[in-house]
Amino acid sequence: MTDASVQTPEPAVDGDGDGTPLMELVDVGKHFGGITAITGASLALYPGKVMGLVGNNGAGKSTLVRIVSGVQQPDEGHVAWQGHPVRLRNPRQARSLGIDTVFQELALADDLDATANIFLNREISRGWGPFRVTSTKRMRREAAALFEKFAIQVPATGTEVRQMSGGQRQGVAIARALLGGSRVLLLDEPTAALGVEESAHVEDLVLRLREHGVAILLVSHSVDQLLKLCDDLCVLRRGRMIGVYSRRDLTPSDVVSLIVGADAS
Amino acid sequence: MPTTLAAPPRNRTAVVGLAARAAQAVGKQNLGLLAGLLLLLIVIRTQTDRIFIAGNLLDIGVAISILGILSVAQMIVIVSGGLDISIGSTASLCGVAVALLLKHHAGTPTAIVMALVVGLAAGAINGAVIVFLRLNPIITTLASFSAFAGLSLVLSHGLDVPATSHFFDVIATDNLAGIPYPLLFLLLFGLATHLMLRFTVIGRHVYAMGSNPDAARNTGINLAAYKMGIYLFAGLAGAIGGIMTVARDSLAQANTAGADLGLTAITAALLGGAALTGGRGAVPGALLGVLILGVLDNGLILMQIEPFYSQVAIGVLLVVAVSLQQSRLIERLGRRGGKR
Repeated sequence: MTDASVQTPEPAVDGDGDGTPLMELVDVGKHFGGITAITGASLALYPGKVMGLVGNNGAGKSTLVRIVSGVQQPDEGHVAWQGHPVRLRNPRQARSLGIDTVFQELALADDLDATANIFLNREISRGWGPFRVTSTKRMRREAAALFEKFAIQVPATGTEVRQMSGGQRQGVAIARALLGGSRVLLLDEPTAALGVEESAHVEDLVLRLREHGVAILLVSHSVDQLLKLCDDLCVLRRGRMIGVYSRRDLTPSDVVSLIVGADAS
Repeated sequence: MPTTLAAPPRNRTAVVGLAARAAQAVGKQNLGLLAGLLLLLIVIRTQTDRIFIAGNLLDIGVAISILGILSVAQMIVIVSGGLDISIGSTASLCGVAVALLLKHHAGTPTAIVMALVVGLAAGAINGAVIVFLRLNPIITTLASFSAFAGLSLVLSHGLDVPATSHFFDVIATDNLAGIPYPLLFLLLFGLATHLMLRFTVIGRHVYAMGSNPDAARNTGINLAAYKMGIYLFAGLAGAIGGIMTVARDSLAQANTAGADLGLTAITAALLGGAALTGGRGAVPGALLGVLILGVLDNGLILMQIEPFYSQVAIGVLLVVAVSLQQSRLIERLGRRGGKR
């Protein structure tokens, strides 16, 4: 791809999340040898909706995350994209559909600036083959426009990503996914390594992405954060899906009980 | 934002602006190197007044030309996250190849082309081992460092190989518009490399792969192809260096001179700000690093100090320069000064 432009999802006309989900997992399961990593997981991601994914370590969260991002393939059930069953063979294929995973540490080249990072390997350029010359100005303009649209507070150029705060780096990583036209974003512990203020910035960004109609799957350990950001919560326990709950019906202590299974009956 | 406050005296802003722009053009990471070079020149100037004579400056330029080409290539390898220890041995091997071909009455163009092919083959071997056998670049090129040096000794039977060619005499002694050919080659090579690194998609990807290989792979950049290309480039630069050495000396020596040259090229690249962790380094820095080494050598000769001391000085200089770069002292000063 020699040319890329800012193409971000538009706000969902249908804000209520009825109709066809962008992405759906139907009765998905994955086994490793005799061990069941996850079974019977069903969830649907709608534009402009944030789905939280919670569970203790070993509950099957990371397996589910890897299935959504295309790293692993389910051996039970299926994945559907806009109503049609698909097989996500690898992350690149998932990304070409519009499903992108934001890895904080895998995503950024520290010695490049924000613009260079979000355009990495899809640089706007002129010329041919090895002599393709980067159009720095155009990329800077589009990056700045994207940062402004989502109120991501980072200098577009001139500052290496290395010198940015954790929240800014997360913003750049998310912007990179948005620039590719992703409509489903998988955020795996986006604030795990951040301070209070930085976390708040990232949380605001998640809400703005939601306003712009991005479907989000958010993995987090923070119950407060999940209740603040999510529309629905998908709870996993010991490789089984306990259920998908609407935030409105939950209190923080409910969430904790669901995770640890204290009131399992 | 001092520039938007009440208007300071006009000419002063202009001067400050000019200085800032000059600093930006040099690159703030190079300011320390420039200061070091200046200091070195001043110290030498207090001991001898021959350093700034035009002829002497050109001598320095010619003296660093071969090292400079190897160093610029080495810098790219380092930026990409690798290292090519074998580049000096590649130069030796290609030098022996070109000299042997000339000795056996091959035409000069044939000899040069064949030597370049030998250099590319050496680079291809390094690249293939690193990409396909997944060996660490240091181990790979340490092995080929030894193997290529050995091969050049085998081919030359350990003896000097005399080589005469009219073309070589011309490029060794003549000049174009006052610039000696070896220096001209260095400048052209440096400029081409600089433009590639700075302005092309390839250059950007080389920085990215050195900075975070996982991120680069994740975006779909073909790391194997880039690594191959980079070691081919280093092999080509080694060949050019080897051929220029033969042109200068009218003979090829398969001794340790090539190996030393290769290691000094690494020194110069590191001195110039290339980071072994990858992702950092640029042509101007590498050239400044080479220039500092060249001026040091030249100054010691002018001051009639035993040249062996220059090796001691280089060692000290490298440690001082890299520790300064790691402390990011200069960068921090630059950022504080340039805050707007």
